[in-house]
Amino acid sequence: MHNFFSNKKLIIIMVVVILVVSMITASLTLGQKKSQPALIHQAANDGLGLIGSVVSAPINGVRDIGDNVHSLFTTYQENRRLKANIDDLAQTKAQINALKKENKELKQLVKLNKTLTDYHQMTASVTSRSPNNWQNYLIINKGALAGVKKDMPVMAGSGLIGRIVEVNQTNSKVSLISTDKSLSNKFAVEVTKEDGTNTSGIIGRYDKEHNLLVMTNVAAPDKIKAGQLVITSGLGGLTPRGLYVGKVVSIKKDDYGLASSIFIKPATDLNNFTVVTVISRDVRHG
Amino acid sequence: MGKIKSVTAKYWGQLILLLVGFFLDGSLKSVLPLLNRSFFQVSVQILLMLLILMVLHNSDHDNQLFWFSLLLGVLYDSYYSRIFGLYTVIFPLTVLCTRSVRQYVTESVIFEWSTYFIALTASLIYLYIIGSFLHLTMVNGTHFITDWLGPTLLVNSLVFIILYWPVTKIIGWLQ
Repeated sequence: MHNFFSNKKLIIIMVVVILVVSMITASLTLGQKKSQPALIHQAANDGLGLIGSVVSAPINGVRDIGDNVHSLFTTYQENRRLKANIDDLAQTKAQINALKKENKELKQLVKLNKTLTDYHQMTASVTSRSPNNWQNYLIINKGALAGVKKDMPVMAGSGLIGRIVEVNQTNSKVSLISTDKSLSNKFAVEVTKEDGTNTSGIIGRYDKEHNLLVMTNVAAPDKIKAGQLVITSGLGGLTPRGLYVGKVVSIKKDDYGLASSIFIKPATDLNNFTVVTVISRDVRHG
Repeated sequence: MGKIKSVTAKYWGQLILLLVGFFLDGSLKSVLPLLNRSFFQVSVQILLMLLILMVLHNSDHDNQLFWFSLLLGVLYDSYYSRIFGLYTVIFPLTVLCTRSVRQYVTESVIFEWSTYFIALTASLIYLYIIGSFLHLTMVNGTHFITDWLGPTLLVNSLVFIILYWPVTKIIGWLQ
């Protein structure tokens, strides 16, 4: 036992440690720069995605059956709630169609091609999630062949849930906004105030304890109240304008009293969705 | 059902079983919303469980499990996270350590479960340390234990006990 740390074993351990540290550093730094991973990496991910669909198909089927059974029990209350909202919706839909038509005609009049609010949507379904707890990645079944590119925003339900961080040929990884400290780009958002003006900022971090997004370093939070809507501002260059993010919950002054943080409740429950929408912005930045 | 005679078929059988565990880890985490609450974050580690059980029940002392674990560790990192060096280290290291303690572990649920428990704790602590060094997680030690480590150990231990008998039977066929 006293020869346990003999030279040979020590050297092997040191080499392994150096290899591991360099692997981690290399994958972090190189992964950030490229828009798509290396071909062999992509091929491995695509192959795994195909095999994975064999395993995840029955599991998703069982989950769907469970959801259907659960829906059976809640159908009556949901029906009553939805009927109450239908009249409102029909009116809103008619208004939106009229506004869209007017907007399109006005854009043509001033010969404006595409603005920050124009985008295309692609639906995808979630096949797996990352098992590691501090990496909130989803794996979706659309990739470069379907037109997905890195840094595209992703929505589920009615709200924003994350950004595409890695694109393979047939699948992609989405980094959720609930990641503590994300390696992906932050979202540029704005709060729509009652008098029609907006306060812009970025989502700095995620408060895990209360499940709230935090808009940090807001210099002048006057007239911002709880309940106001938060949407993407389009100013970051990657996300179109007008994607729903959430509602303001509270405003807190930072430690030195110079700036404030606005706490936002996300629009979607970040734990329970199966279908996501990838948003492709029409205006290319740069 | 008798034991499988052909060595290639045995290796393919082991690889397929490990791949099923590989994909179950991700599928279960996406399908069960219970595992993703902020105060109850469970990291499903069925592949780790399969590797440990295979090593402990391996009567042939072959080296192939080490190479399988290295390959699957690299694929795991490539598919589920973008950082190589997390599970690439955990799976082979677990196989090596379990192989060296194999002679001391008697074949019963409790002893094998404790091996799995220790391996799971060590791997989660390793992942947490890497995450903290890279400043990719802001969770402090107390929250790590109550929100991550505790729930993960709990759920994975339950899964271990439920799957122990069927998995050991299948491993027996693949020897």
